[in-house]
Amino acid sequence: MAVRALRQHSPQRERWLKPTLRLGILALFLGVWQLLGNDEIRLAMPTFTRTMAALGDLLSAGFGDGSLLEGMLITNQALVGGYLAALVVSLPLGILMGSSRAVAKVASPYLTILLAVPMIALVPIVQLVFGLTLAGRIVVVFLFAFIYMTINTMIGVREASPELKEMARSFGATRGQMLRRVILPGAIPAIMAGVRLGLGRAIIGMIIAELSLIGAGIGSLILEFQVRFQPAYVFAIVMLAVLEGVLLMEIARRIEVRFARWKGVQGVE
Amino acid sequence: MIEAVGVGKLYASGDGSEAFRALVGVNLAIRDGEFVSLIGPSGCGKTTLLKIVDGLLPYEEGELRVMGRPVTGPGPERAVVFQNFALLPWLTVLDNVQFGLQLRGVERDQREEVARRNVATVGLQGFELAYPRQLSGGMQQRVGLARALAVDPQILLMDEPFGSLDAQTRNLLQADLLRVWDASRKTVLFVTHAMDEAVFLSDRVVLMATGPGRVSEVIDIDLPRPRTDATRTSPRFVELTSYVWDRLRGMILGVAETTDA
Repeated sequence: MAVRALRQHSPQRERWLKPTLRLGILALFLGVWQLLGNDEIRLAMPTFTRTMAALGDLLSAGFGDGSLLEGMLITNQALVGGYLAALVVSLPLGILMGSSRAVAKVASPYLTILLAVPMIALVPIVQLVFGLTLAGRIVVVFLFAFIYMTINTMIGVREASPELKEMARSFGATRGQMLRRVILPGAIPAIMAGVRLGLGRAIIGMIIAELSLIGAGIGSLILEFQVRFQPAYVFAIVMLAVLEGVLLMEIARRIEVRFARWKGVQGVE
Repeated sequence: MIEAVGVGKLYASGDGSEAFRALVGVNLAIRDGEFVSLIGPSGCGKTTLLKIVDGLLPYEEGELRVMGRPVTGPGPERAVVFQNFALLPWLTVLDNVQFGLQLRGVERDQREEVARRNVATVGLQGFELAYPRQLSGGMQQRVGLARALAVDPQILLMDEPFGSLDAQTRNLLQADLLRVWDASRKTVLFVTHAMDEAVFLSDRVVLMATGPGRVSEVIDIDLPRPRTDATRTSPRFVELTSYVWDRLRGMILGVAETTDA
């Protein structure tokens, strides 16, 4: 009973300890930012408060040509398009590579190249082929996102438990049933980890595409405010993009935890 | 029910030289409703033989018939209880038990009813919605047994099912298995490395030897049924168990001698 009581005590401690720690670190970070910034000289690094004021200014402009919200919307088109395309390609390709040695052999050199080469090196090539278009930005996001999702899916499928496969075979599972009822459910944690990693990479790809293949999104806004020497506005835009990234990653993490719930089920014996 | 005539199993060696002989000349006839154990030193091929009977492994020599038909693969009249339980960790007890029925396309309502009945048979009422991870080893193997029973096979193939359990849990499960077997009278082929387990459960104990794996002797167990805890202390039980041990010890020492030479 004593052991039980102890165990119950520690999660309660953690419940308030963790958010407090997080808020403390955030406050420290913002405080340092505030101190490092300089609002006297317009060109110097803006303080946190000046950045927030700039953000409020940008957001109050609402939607419309050249507004921040409009820019975010356009920028996110590349994220949605590229990430969905990566999902559609990665999952079947990963499953195929995980279940067939021959396919894995043919495809793995290309995957190795894509893993070894920094994706940013491919951006000029994408620009040559697609120009400064939405399609080009979608391709960049796709290239960033698809590799980790493919590899994780492949590993998840390939590492399916031989004992469970033997059991299913003994009960007369067909190839399709084996995949649907044994291999894929077992691979879900690995696949979802890849889906989360892929989203993180897609967000990086989106920002890089936005800054290098400048369209009508936040990339052009950043450029515009840089040219007009308004660093607070540049900071505000970057901050909004970072917040979006953090939010999306948190959502992805929660989805991943949910899908892998059976892995973490605690004993009640 | 199960007839093996000169069954042999070869594993091709990697370099193309002589194949490794895992089993040779296995002759065995198991009657309908009989409880037969396979016991022998490690490397005697007892698990290999069980997997051949289930159709999970191919065999190269001789002939194996189950219910008169040659074995070419797994079939609905056979079901295996695995050594490592082999439960799907993402499914509840109830879903694990109906796994075989689901593969066979049985309607949800029907298979759930069958699963509930079998969960009760193995004494796991109240744990239908638990996940394997939440259960002890003994309870997990009860799920494994219920899953095999749910497809209502004529033949139950059990591969060291209680091997990883502690002695008390094993005794309880043995008694429960006999109770289930008494009620259903399925044919059971039971692989074990525990002599008392083989003697307590079986009608006949098949002793296997190594190098190559083969049947060395078949021992009739004439203990009266139903067998209870009293059986375990009866003189005849002790006598049979020590006889099996004598034979096994001879085999293990024999192997040791040839290895030393």
